[in-house]
Order: sequence, then structure tokens, then C-alpha cells
Amino acid sequence: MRFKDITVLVWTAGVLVLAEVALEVRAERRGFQGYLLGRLSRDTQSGLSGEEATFGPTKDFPFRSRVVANFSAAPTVRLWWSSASYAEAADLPVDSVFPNLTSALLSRELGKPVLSFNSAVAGRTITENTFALDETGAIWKPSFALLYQLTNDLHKLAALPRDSGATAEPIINREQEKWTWSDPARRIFENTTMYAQLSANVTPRILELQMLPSRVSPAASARFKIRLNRWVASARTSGAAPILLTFAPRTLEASELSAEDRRSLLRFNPHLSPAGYLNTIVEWNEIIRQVAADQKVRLIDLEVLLRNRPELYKDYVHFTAEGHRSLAKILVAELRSDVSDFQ
Amino acid sequence: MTFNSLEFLLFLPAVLLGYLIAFRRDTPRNLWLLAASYFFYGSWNWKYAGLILLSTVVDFVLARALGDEKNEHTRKRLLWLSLTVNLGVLAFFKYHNFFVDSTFELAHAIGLHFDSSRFRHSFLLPVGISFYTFQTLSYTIDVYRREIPVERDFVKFALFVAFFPQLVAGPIVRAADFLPQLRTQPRVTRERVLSGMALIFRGLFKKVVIADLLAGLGIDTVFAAPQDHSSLTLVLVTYAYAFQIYNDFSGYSDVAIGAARLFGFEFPVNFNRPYLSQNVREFWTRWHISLSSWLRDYLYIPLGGNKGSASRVRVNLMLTMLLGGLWHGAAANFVLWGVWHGLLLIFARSTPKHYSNASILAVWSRRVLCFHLIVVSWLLFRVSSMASLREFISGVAEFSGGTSLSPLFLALLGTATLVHFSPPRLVDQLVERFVTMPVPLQGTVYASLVMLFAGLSFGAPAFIYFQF
Repeated sequence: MRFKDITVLVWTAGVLVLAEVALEVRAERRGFQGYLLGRLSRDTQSGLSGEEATFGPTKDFPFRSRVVANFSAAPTVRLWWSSASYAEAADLPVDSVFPNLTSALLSRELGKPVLSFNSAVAGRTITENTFALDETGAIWKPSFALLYQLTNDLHKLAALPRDSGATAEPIINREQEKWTWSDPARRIFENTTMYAQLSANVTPRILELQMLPSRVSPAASARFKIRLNRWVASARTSGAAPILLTFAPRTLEASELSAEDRRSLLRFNPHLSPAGYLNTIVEWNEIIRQVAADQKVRLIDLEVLLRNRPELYKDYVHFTAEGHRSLAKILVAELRSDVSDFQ
Repeated sequence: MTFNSLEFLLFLPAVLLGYLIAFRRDTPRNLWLLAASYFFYGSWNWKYAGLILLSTVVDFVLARALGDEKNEHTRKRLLWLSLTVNLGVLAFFKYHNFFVDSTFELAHAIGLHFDSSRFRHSFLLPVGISFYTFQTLSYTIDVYRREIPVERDFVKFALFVAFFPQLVAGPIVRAADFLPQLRTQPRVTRERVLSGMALIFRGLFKKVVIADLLAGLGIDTVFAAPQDHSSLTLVLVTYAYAFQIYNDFSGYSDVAIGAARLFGFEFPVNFNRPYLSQNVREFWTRWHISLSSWLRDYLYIPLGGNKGSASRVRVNLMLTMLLGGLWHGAAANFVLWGVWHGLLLIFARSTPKHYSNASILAVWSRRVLCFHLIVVSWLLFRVSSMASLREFISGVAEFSGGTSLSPLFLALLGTATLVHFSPPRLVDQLVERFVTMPVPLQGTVYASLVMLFAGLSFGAPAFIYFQF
């Protein structure tokens, strides 16, 4: 056996690298950075310690909010936000995302300090938010914990087969899952322009042709309910009054989704049709309302409050800067009496 | 890791490079492959890699004892020990819960109520256990029969059991075919590498482009809720499933055989255009050949085979196919599948082995009939429960028309059918011509296919036979 016997593998790898370089050159011309020719950085950490930075997340302050400089100051109302990319909004300045805007507006209106601990991280599920609350809730002592979360859980749970009877919800913190040998290579691959093009343009187009289910399994819905209940229990253990928010997408009508919305939906969720996706949001919002009633938890029905306000969204779930401002005003109106009554 | 994953895309070239470095000497070369094979299996679950090691050690030791032992009575006891250990492990992981549930259902039916959960276990079914168990059993039985010499090199034997291309879903390679190849330096030539690569990509194409797309474009959704679809849709997906399972399983075998060829090893063909069969007897010489020949040599023939009375032969056939069905899974539908094939084989015995009428019309009529009998059996294979089967059949019996299946699904089904029934030489000639093309061109085609597979593979289902 000689090296020249396997040169076909070298040629295959070489062509793949050439293809990636070509795609990156094309992407660079359009203002994007690729992996080989430039680096994509998704690290939003300032790298500074809590004393030096104004906004987190930092090593000592793992929240996308204004850093709390003096923790022993006069009694404050502390709002803990369990959410995902819609509240993280990594593309906007920190103080213009709705959790931080809400606390700033409440502070100004009520004349008392209201702090935000914006624990939102893109891709988080309710389970991971529960873990975050368990781990550091007792340190930061939130007064209220708000949960605005649904789609990432939907992405994961929709993969359960229709006839799955697996309603047991394992307690796994995916952010602390063990390292596997292919993680570095996978990270590199997922940062390539080729991956971006395939996952954004090719895969969703194929998925659009597929006959995807229009309903999640009953087991998926049962597990979503378990996750909600766990989060409520965790909030209470941290000393916070839990507040549940129903999820408000731009529309609940599949016919109003743009082609880009549909492809984006399919990119993240290849297990449900777009109509099924929206149907599940309707069904799971009912579960949120039910859990709020059963657990005697304050409910903010954002799905109703934001209905028919498509102008506030940049896609089907994420808000524009104006959307964040409008949402913050709505939340201020909802939270005003809870916060002003808080001792 | 599965063959259509990023991990395998990295793993295979890395193993090949290490193999190139270690190639000249037997021990480093085989050790490298053995380590890579255990790594491959352990990437799924490292704890269950210990189970393969256990099976390997038990059969290595027992076979050596068998080889050295002259007393026939003792030899038989050693063989039974090997059978007990191997089949015992298989039975525990695969069949224990099924038998517990069946027993309790029977008890429940006669008015006795017990809690079966106390007697069930929650261990995962080790991937590939049915395959490697049969593979090691074939070795000990062949040693017992004095058909092959004992392998005294543990590394070679362990590699025979655990070699990664065929470890998790076959083909079930006989010791007589593989061990001699391990005893000599493999021949790795440029031509073999090119033909191995072509086989790998052909297999991946079958799996990713045909099998998975058919599944996603309609099969999975329709089988999950048959009551929501018309009779025409149900019939079409049933045909489509026949091609899905063929392309999925034969695709895996192609990748396994192609990967083995890269390392200089030749594995036997596992599929040979099975839907071209004119009767079920012929079907079982073309479908999953390694399993059917295993069942014939180690079960059917020891039971008596074709010898004895007609009723004895029928019993032998039914028992063999029943166990063949159970091998696929511990569930009632697999048992039913085995019984159906048993009945078909019994019926096939009453038909002539060689047909007097060899006209094209007669040949194709027999092929179409046989194909439909097999398609019915795949329905039994695919349904998730007896209730689902009843729903499916009543849906078909409604004779409602119209279909929500996409034109792409129908085009893919048509293409899969045409390719399968096209003259065998046509595809073989295309492949032969391709592997003689300049290597840079072949590399470009493979790179394009990698990108195509990557685009199609997000959220794709696993190989069907992984569950066995």
C-alpha cells in the first residue's frame, strides 16, 4: 500500500477546501466573514471582569444586562429573565433589548431601582434556563422570574415520534454535556460558509418538499408541561415570584409566513411542517395558561397583547429595535403594580 | 457514528492514513484496525464495547479448547457453552422484555394480573449485537465441524469480530472468508481503492438520496397516521417502502464492502437485485445473502433441511423463518413477517425449481407476483403495531383515490424502480467506466456528492438495520 493509492481522498478533500474558499470569497464580497478567510465570532462576552465592564455577560456577571456594581445597595426589585435569542438579541445594543428596557422604564416610572438579570442565551431551552436559575438564582436573589420561552423546546421535542409514549422528561443540562471527540471538528464545520449555505438554502428547500407532520406527539406536549412546572418550582426555590409569558410569534397563520420564514423554520425544525409549528405554538400557549392557573402563577398573555402587530418583528419570532421598545412598554404596563407593591 | 455523518467522514481517512503508516507489519496493522474498530463502536456507547470484547474472549478461548480437544462429548459441551453464552447475552438484551411482556399479556388474558415492570430491564439494545453474535457463532460452529482451523492469534480473531465496516449492520462475514485474509498482507492497490470509493458513494447515494428522501417525502408521515391518507397514497408508500428498505440496507452493505476494500479486504456481496426474483426461494438467495446463508447453514440444515418427510421440511422452513423474523426484532409484527415468509417458502417448494416457460412475459409475470408478495411482507415489517396494521389495511380497503404525495416522491419512486429493474450490466458498466476516469475528476464528483449528502442529511433518519 502506498500513499499514491489513496490520492483520490486527497483530491476529494482538496476540492472541498477549494469549494469552501470560493464560497468564502463570494461571502466576503457581500460583507460576511468566513472561517478560512476570516473568523466568525459569536462570543458576546466582553472578557472583562464585573468591575471593569458596564454591560454583561462577563466572567462574574453572566447576564446580558447592565452589570450590578454594588450589590448591597438600597433594596431593589430584581427581574430575572429566562429566555432565548428573542431576549438576548445579540445584534442590538444591550440596553435596547426589552428585558433591560423594561427594568429601566420601571425604575424611572416608579422612582425605585429595578434591576434586570437577562439570562437569555440563544438556543436555550426551558430546561437550560431552569439549570441557570438553580445554579445562580440563590446568589442573585431575584424578586420576580419571567419566562418567555417556547421555540427551542419545540425544536427539540418535535423530534419525538408521533407514537412516542416517552413522557418522562430527563434532567439533562445540554450546556454541560460531556465533550465528544468530534466537537472541535463539528464546531469548525458549523462555522464554514459551506455549512451556512447548505443549512440555510439547500436543506430547507428539500424539507419544504417533504411531507412533514402537522402535529407534535402528545408526549412532546406532556414534556413541555413538565419543563414549565420545573421552571416554576425552580423560580420559587430561588425566592422569586414566577411569571409566565405566552409566546408571541409574528403570526399564527401559516399563509402569512414568508418563504424566508418557512425556510428558516425548517432549518431549525425539520420535524414539523410550518403550519404544524404554528399550531403547536397555539397548543403550547394553552399549556402555559393552564400551568399558570394550576400553579397560581402570574400570567402575561403576550400572544394576545402582541396580536396583529407584525411591524414589531424582523422575522417570525425576533423583534426589531422598535419591537423591543414596544414590548418593554407593554411589559411595564403589566408589571407596574407587581413591582410597585413589592417590598 | 453512522456512515452518513461528519464523524465518519473524518474517521475513515484518519484510519486509512494510520493504516498506511502501519501497513508493512502484521501486528501494528491489525492492532491499528482493531483500535479503530473499538473506537468506532465505542463512539456510540463505550460501555457496550466491553460486551463485544466479552463475546470475543469467550469464543476465542472456547474455540481454542474445541480445536485442541479430541473427545467428541467434551467438544459438544464446549460448543453448547459458546452457544449458551452468546445467545444468552443476545436473548437478555433483545428478547427478555418481549418475553416478559408476552407472558404477562397471556397471564392477563386468563385473568391473572401481575406488574410486569418489576421483571423488565432498561438496558439499551447494543448496536449490532445480532450481527456480531451470529458472526462469532459461525466461527465456533465451523471450528466444531472442523471446517476451518482454529485462529490462535487473538488480535486477528478480535479484528474478525469487531472490524468496523461490518460490525453494526453486516454483512455477516464468515470466518472462512475473512480470517484467511487477515493472515496475509492485504493487497491495497489504486484500483481497489477507487472501486472501494465508488462502492461507498454508491451506497451513500442509495441511503441519503433514495431511502431517506422517500422516507421524508411521504413514507414516515403516512405510516405514522394511515387513517389520514387515501388508499392510493397507502399503496404507493407501501411500494416506496420496499425500495426504501432495499436502498437503505443495500446502501449500508455497499458502504461496508467498499470501506473494507479500501483496507484490502473483500467481503461477499449481500444483495443482488432481490426484486428480480421469480419466486421467494430465489428472493432469499438475493436479499441479505449473508443472513439467509447463515440461517441455511447453521439452522435449517442442522434441523434436517430438505431431508425427511414433506411435513418435516415444512416445519424446518417455518422454524427457520420464524427465528429469522425474531432475529430482526422482538415484536409481534416481526414474528408475523417470519411466518409469512415461512408460508411463502413452503408454497414455493411445490413449484418447480426451474421454469419450463422462460418467455419474457412469463419471467416478468413471475417477478411481478413475487415482488408483490414481498411488498406485503414489508408492510408487516414497517408497521409499529398490530393496531397500526389494521388501520393501514382498512385504509387500503376503502379504495379511495387521490394522493397528497409530491411529484418528487413519485419521480423518486419511479427512478428507484427503473434502476432496480434495469439490466444489471448497465449500472455496473457505468461504475466501471467512472473508476477509470482521471482521479481529479473522481475527487470532484465525490466532493460534490459530500456536499449533496450534507445538504440532505440534516435531521435524517438512521440506517434501518441499525435497530437490529
